[in-house]
Amino acid sequence: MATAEEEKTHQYADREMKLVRCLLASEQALMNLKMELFNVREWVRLKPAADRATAYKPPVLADLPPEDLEEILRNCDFITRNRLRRISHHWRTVLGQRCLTEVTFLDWNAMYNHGADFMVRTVDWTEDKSDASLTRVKAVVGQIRHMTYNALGHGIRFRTQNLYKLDQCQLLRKFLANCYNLETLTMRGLPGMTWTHLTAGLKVDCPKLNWIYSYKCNQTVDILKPNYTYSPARRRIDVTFMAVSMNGDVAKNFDIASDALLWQVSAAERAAHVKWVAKYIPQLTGKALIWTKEFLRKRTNSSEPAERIDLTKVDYAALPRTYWLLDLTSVLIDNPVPGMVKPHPKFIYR
Amino acid sequence: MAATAGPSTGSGDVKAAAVAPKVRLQSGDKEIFIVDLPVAKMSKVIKGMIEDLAGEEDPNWDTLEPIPLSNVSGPILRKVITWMEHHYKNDGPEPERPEDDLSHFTDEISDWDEEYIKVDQGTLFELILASNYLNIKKLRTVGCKTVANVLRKLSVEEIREKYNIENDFTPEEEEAIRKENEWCEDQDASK
Repeated sequence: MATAEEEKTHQYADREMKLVRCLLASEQALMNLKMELFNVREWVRLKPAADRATAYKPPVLADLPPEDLEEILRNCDFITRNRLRRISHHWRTVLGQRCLTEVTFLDWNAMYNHGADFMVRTVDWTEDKSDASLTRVKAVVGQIRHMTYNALGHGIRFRTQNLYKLDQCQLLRKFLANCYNLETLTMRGLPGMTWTHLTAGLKVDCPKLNWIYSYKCNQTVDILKPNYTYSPARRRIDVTFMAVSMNGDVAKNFDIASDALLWQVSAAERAAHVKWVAKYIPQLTGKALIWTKEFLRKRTNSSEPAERIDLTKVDYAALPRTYWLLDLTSVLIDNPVPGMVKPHPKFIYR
Repeated sequence: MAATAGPSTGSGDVKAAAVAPKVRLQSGDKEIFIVDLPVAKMSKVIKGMIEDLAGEEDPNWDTLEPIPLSNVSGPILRKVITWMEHHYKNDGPEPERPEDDLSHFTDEISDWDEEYIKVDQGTLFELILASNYLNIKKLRTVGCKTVANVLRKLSVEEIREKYNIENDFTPEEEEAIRKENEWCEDQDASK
């Protein structure tokens, strides 16, 4: 228990701190005033407010303080950051800071390019590289200590195009093989990811790896503790992770559950969008119409041939997966029909 | 000196209904904005100033001097207040996150923020500067992420042109960096 005298001392100390802060603030205000008053150029060339407004020059990127540029670059993914080292000496210096080289994230589209051909790969980690090239890659990738992989659920979206979550895991695994300083890995938005493909032998390549976090990956435990086992068959140490599934519902009906997890839309939003789809889909023509009929035949397991499907009679609300609605939206966006209004942004692939 | 009421708060809003005191903020060009106290406190700088001004006892907010924000112009301050009003009404409390959590870098910008930040380049940089000055972390992240999204889509040459950045590398240096970076250059673009 503090004595009355101690309490009094504390009160005095608090007041003193407040006084000091006030003094500092007023000193700063005085300085600003002084700058304003004694800026001769300002006095001589002072223009009327209206003119000053026209003389206003908006800030450019170079006007931002270094910490703002750093923050912008922090929001760029690993591939972009490395690309931007070519801009200028200043950018190269900023990008060379440890806070930017050691902490980074990879986006799914850093691996794949979302083009007409879904298999276009922006960065091909799989091709054989020369020793010099590999050394250069290792020099950059090897600096990473904390990394987030951001799949945004795209493994699910592209599985029909042979771009499945498995591909991402394997490709990411090849990337991780160079991250010999990696301490933390965070996986985001890759539901039902195959942990074994990602983690096999990972401890050998990333000996400092301590934690793997998963977020929106159908893992109900956020932090998975690594548990090392020796595999005689492979003659190396594998890492297995204790992935405890505590939510049976998610595990049993994974596809539907992951749908709700990835596209969080309310019932009202879904209903409104179903109306939108039902209104415009029947107006499609040409190849888009053929594609849509075939798409719906497969999705509804219809025994009728695709050309006999009547698009005005399809129950779009009964389509269980939200991303099917997104697929239909994509077709309409690519083949707009007359008078079509914009769809709800939540139903557009980003 | 024009006194401008800040963006109005919704009458049905539970949070707003509980809030009575308002503070006055003065922009660099002497425009006055009247803002709800908790909304203003979303800026850590304003929060600190309010605490300093208020002292120990509950002050009379109407008679308090307006808080000077000399580095922020009126139009930008108005825009910042709109952002704070919206997020105060619609956001829940900030969840506690571990220090090495990188999720805010990978989170997508919300639809509202995306609409909000559709401004010209100069205004965007002014918003970033203002959010840095006022210490509003989330708004700064939205601004920086928007610029980052632009950077991601442009080639190095396009970035230099758009942002008027001089290429101060010698041809030899540039060639060396190009070689260093060949693994991360867009292979399709180079074809």
